Amino acid sequence: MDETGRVEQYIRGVLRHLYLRDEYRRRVADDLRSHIAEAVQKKPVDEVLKDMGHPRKIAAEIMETYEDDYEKMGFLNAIAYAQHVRDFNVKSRARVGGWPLVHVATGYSESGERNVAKGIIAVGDTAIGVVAMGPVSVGVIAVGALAAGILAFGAVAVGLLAALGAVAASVVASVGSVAVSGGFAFGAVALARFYAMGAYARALYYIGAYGESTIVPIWMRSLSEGLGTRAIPFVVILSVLGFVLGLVPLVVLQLRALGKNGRGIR
Amino acid sequence: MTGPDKELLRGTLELIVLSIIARQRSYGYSIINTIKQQTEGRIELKEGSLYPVLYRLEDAGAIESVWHHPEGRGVPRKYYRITPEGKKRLAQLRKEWHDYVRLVTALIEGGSKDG
Repeated sequence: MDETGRVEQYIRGVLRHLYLRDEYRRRVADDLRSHIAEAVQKKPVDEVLKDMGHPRKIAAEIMETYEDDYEKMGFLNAIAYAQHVRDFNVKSRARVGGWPLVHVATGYSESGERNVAKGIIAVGDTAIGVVAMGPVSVGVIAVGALAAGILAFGAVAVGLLAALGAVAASVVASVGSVAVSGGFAFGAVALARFYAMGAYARALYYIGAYGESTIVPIWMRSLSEGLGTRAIPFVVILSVLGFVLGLVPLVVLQLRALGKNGRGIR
Repeated sequence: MTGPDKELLRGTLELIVLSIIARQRSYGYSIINTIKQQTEGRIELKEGSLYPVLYRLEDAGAIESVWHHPEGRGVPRKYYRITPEGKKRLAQLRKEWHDYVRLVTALIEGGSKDG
């Protein structure tokens, strides 16, 4: 690899660990490029890069300054950085009704308390907000491994209006491998007060592999006939969808933290 | 001899960098070298510590940067120069620093007298 290639590789190494908006990443890349170009006038490039230390250390020093500054990081970078450092707590300056517009919080605080994300958009190990995402999330719209909200999506989802997940429970409508609802349940195992469809279905009105109630509403009949033999795969797909949605905050963000590869900023 | 404590240095970096830029327009590499030379190698600033200070000062309007692209094979440099706002900021930081040194000195000397 030639000298320019080695320098660019080094800069990419720094950017890979820099969880800042592109504007700042570009500034750092430009300054590093200029700094190294200056330094190689006096000694070989390998020596210059060695003196500068591991790219991760440069990035870590910069991040130490900015890790409380949501505005410099932006939403996705803040989440990715939270995955990277684990103990993290940052809020946007913008607030709505006393709550931060965005709050990302994971791990523990300096005093050893668990960080809880509370914001209009809340992301964290435990998240409470209008839109809450995290392993444990509570919100109007909650997405997480354990999600509770008006609309809940998760491995285990509990929703007031609707729940979608591997195990889904709600007042109005649930869809999942195991779906329990006061109104409508659709799942491999579907239990509801009024309407249930599934392999094993029990409700006032139900259609299942093992039979159906004597009076079935027309819409249920149409839905059942429309789905036909696809009913079970349909349930499985929806359940998996709910499960995957619940894991989105974990998986996607983890991948982002791992896969940040210093997008060729020049 | 060792350099100053990292936290102590961090707390005074803005003052140090602004003072250097106030004396003459400077670029990142030259600021690092100036600090190293003037402190006889006792303070070696890393790029990761310098850049955030420069960006913070620039974002606050205390300094401004201009890229200089020399003709031929010369190295492009980003020069920083102090602004009128920066001069006010520097005066304030200097005053705070001298006050702080005076207070800490009084505390230290008072302590040694008592001891």
